Amino acid sequence: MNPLSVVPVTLMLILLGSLTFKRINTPATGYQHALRGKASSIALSGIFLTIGYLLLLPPVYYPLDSMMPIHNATDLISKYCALVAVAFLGGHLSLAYGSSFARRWTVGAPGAAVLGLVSAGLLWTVLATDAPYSSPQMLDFATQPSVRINIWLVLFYVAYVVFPLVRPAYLDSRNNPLRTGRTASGMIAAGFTLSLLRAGAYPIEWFGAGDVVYLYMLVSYASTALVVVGLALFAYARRKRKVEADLGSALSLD
Amino acid sequence: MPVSASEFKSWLDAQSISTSPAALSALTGLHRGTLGNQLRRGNVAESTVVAVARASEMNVLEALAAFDPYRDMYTRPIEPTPAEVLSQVHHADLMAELQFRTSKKHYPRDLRKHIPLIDFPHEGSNRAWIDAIDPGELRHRMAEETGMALTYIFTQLTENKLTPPLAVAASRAAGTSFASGLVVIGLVLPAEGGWQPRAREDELLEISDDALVELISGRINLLQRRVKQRKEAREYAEKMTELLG
Repeated sequence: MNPLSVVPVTLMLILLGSLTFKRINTPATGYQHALRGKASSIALSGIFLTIGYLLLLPPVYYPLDSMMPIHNATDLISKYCALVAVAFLGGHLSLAYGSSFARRWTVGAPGAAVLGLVSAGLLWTVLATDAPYSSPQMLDFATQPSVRINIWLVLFYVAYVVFPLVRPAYLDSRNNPLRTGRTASGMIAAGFTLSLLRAGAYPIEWFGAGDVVYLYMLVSYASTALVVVGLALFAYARRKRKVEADLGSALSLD
Repeated sequence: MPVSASEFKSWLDAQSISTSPAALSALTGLHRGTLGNQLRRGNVAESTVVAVARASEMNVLEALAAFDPYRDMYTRPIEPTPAEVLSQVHHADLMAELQFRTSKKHYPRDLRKHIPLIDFPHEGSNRAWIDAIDPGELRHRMAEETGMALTYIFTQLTENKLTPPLAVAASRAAGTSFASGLVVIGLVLPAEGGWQPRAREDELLEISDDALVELISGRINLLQRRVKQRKEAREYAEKMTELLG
């Protein structure tokens, strides 16, 4: 059990779990809104992502994987959870940022086709990996080409979904009249950019030294954390009614 | 267009002021790095000249007039016209004046005897000044003189961020005081720009009823547009927090 992989996953799980729980469990203003309202896709995305990270924790991973028909099927399920979370997030953000191109790209026919192909590719890579035992994130077999393709497929799908959303998120970070909104969109745009950078730099990672893989993984964790905290800021702005509080009367000088 | 660094240094020499950024920073309170950058890049902001003049107890307008873009400063009267002064009265103050004149019983003037007028620049005050001095096509003439795009000038007016060169270009095209524009944009203080201590209060008392109502009417039109823009901005912010929050 390598602490370099366990500690970041645990931290991410704490962050994701607490923010998702906070988003859902706010009965006064948020419970109905979070799960059934306009932002329900965000809550679902948070739930899927949290499950994805939860499955990677060794105390969960090993017992679950021992019940699976093939080694590391739990990793596959975790990645499917992540893909679904990204698809929900991409579809919803494209709607929120008003980008019809991003919407077609992420959840239209092209988006569904890419999700299907990536899912099939992930299954194939897990089957093709020579894995005699369970290993969270298949890190013990990271040098095998099938595992590298497996990682690349996830990075590719994330980059595919976030690519058309970077510009709308960046524009909102400049134009949103609410300061909290500008900060939140800025964090989301920065997180998306990091995802694109990691996917773009994957050839370096592929041919680089094996130990540096943890560093590259940190880029993905940072990217996820930025997006999740950005979305949590929007939830905070809604709960605290920041629009009414900060923008006030259109006539006010104060 | 800021003033040239070489001109600025010559001017400092002529005033027996050190040209080192550290000494200038100590004199003006401006950040040393900012001053160093301005001198290195060859463009010194007008606000720096004003800060040095103030710190050295010089006449601010005379100090600016030593530099190329502002040499014409004294070729026209320095004092503002009544229309320029009134343009810097906030619409809320104009409406308060309307109320005072409407009923001494319901809106006694004494009620706000000790409350000053809203300071300028305030939202829309740059545009109000341009409207007050505009003989027609002023924005186009500003664009021609400065070589700046018309859309840039509109944006500057919308954001109430008229630059000193644009203010001077407007004054030149309108045939009004060069100093007034610099006062309106906040570069020069009213007292430094030849405004009487209570110029706005006095003009507000002297304006005729019909001119007051006409002025308010014009401002209300602008206010309607601004309120509509703010409403749209608020709706956008609400939509985003509702969808993502």
